[in-house]
Amino acid sequence: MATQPIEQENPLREGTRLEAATEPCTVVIFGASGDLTRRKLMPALYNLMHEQRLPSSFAVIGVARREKTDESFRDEMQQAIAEFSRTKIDQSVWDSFARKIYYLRGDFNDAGTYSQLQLALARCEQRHGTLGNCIYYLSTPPETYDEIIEGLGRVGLHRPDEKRKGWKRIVIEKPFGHDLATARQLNARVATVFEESQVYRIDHYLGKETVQNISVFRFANGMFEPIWNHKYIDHVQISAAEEVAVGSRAGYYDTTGALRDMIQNHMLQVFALIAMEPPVAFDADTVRDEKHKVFRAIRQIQPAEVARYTVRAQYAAGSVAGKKISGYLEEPGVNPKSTTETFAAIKFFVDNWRWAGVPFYIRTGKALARRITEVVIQFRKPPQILFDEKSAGTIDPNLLVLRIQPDEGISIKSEVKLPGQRVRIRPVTMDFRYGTSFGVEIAEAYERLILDCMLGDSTLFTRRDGLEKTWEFVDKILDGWRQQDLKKLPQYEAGTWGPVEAQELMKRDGRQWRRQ
Amino acid sequence: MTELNLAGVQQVELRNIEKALRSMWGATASAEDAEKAAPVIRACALNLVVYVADKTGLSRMLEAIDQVSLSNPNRAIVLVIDSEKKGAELATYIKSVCRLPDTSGRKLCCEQIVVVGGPESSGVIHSAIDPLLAPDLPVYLWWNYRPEFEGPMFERFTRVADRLVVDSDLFNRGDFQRLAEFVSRGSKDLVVSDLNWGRLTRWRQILAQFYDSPRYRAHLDRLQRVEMECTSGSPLPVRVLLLAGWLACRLGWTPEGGIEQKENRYHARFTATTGNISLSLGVLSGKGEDCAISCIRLHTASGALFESRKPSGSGFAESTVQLPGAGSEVSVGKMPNIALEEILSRELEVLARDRVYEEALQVTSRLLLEG
Repeated sequence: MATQPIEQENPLREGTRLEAATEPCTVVIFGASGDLTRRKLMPALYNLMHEQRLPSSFAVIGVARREKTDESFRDEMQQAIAEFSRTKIDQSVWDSFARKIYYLRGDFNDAGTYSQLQLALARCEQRHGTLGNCIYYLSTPPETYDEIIEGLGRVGLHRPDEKRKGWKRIVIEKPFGHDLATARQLNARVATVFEESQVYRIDHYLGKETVQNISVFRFANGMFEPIWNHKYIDHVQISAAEEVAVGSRAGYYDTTGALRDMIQNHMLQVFALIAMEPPVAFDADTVRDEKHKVFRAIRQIQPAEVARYTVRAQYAAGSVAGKKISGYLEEPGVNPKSTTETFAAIKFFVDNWRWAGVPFYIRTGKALARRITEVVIQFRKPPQILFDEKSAGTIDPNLLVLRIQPDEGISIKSEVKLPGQRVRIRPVTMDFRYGTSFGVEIAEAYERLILDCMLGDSTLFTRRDGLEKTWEFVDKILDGWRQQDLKKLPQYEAGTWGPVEAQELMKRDGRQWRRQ
Repeated sequence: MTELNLAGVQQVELRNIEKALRSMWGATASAEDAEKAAPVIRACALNLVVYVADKTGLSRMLEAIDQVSLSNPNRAIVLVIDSEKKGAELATYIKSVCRLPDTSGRKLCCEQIVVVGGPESSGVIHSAIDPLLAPDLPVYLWWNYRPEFEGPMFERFTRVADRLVVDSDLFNRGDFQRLAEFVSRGSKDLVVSDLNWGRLTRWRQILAQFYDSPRYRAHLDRLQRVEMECTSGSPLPVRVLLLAGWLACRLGWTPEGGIEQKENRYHARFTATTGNISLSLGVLSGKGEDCAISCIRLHTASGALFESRKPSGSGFAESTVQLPGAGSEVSVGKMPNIALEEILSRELEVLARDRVYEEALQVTSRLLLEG
């Protein structure tokens, strides 16, 4: 991670136990009335305050269209924190936090909003000593990004304060575009106002402890790297299954689908951590350079190849965990003729020395049997089987499973001899479970990422080049699907593990998805 | 069974302990499977060796070890000297400690081994440790007494340990000096942890936070007066002095003589390149209570005040910055009272040598030496 200069400058920060310190700053949340602000951002900021991870010189300004006062906004946020925070709200901490929260009513397309914001920031600086440091958090629908970025640029709010070295950073929530063209457009728009070093594209998956643990697991253990290649690995599976159906997100989801919603961002980021080369240093640009390299090495699935390498489907009526679920096409807010996929599986290759010939299988879906996200590394079988499989039993390949959620941890499956004179072989697993080895409460991904942004560490954020590469890959699949022009997608019963076509995708290679 | 109250334990022979453990786990697993209840995971991330010099505190320590096992799965090896036990034989007991099943339905369990000897076995009880250690895992020795730095028992116990965990809250002035000497002699293989240092982490965090803001950082060079208030059951509040020692070593202050006591306040002076600094420490007597810091005030020559208060019984600290001619800035953050098991758990998460602690210890020791 990036070194924090503040730690070197404050002599009291020296020492092994004190966490890195953040500099004074104001966080401006655009879209302050939205769900993300209520459910994630304000609870994350409150928890950081509760844990004493925020500087005392700190303020939050919520910007939204609705008419509100500072007081009514604070009341709303207090309720939201009480409902969604992982820690119980405490009155004395809340009182101190509330004094730092302000509300600004404004239309994002109105130039006056940004002049008002300028004044509000100056007031915060005066009252709270935030030193001109500022984070703009775009918690708004993507169609407003342009006007906000332009508005900030017009009044110079994007410019670092040269005199006092005050920094300005912008956090952009996904979706970063709807396809390659719109992602490029958005990036170009952002770049007309902000430098890339000021831009933090947030993917909350990367803030999860277990996703971060992938790098530590790979690069802090000498035993895995030598076998982390095509010579020893048969294939890699990455699964992100959700129990929930589209629910209240139906309207948004129907214009998006599983490929854009999960694979283009979260799952390809996890893939990159599994497949990238060891970086020469663990800092933002070096890590992201390696990710970009591996994205470039993905063999594109051409539109004509989608039938061979991809599967898409929609959930039909069924039941999940004892609860009835309507089919996707019957969901309110979904076009009954929709061909938006709620399940997607793809197989692809990475054309580099390390991964030559090793297929990567990715699948994700809604209304599946169980919520689980995991990476499975399946190793090749031994070159020669010494034991008679008829009497000894089938020899399963070794598996290394990195479970991201829930029940985060690592399992290794290997073969052992059952006790007795005869050679009988059975698989056993060796389990490491994050939650049981470390009793600490794991911070929410948003807490980690907001703090990283305050610290100026962009390692866990997506860089422009990497983002465009992932869209390039996904775009070709979308093209292929468009060309297929299916009137109706294959269906899978809600509460199962997806369509039979997804099983077929593996089966025809003589493989299968790991049984959950 | 011995007269010691060891709830839930099973007596076994020392030489058969691994076999007994295997059979205990086998029985637990099959019982659980039979009922289709929570499957058991046997977990161990470290060895925790605990010396118990007399049985009076044993149940409290076992309780703490149980709790610690839930956050730091370990193999606990508890060695007890029971003054009433006759003969030189060691009695050994085993038990499992389990956490309630989590969302996955699995139950995490650790094992505890208690070895009890009488006064006659005090010279040999250490020899039980080595064969009982879980291999390839770090060994923490929790010595919850005044350490006998030169004593053979202490020497034998520390021989197997990677990390020694003491609690300087239990120390008198002489013990503290000996601890500082022991640490300064510096064994490569044995690192010292102090629960008292762990108790100060939150306070250090709060004081450091004042100066994270560049606009306040310059005030560090202008500090002139430090006031600390605490309630303590002990006449010498070692914990607060350790905090003062930390401030001094981080800010380059040199003690000018040691601490002096006038009624219920201690006074010390420091010199620094930027001038002299005075420390005044008020101690409110709280019989039988742990030392509790209630207020720290840092004053600068220019009249700026950085103050942090923790009202008695509260789980929060209120920090205030007051600059001359400006309003005050207040922030509140959690500062829970930390139980023994929690503080011990945190120490078990640390393996590396803590240079800052070692430096703070040396300065504190000078304050005590010269007083």
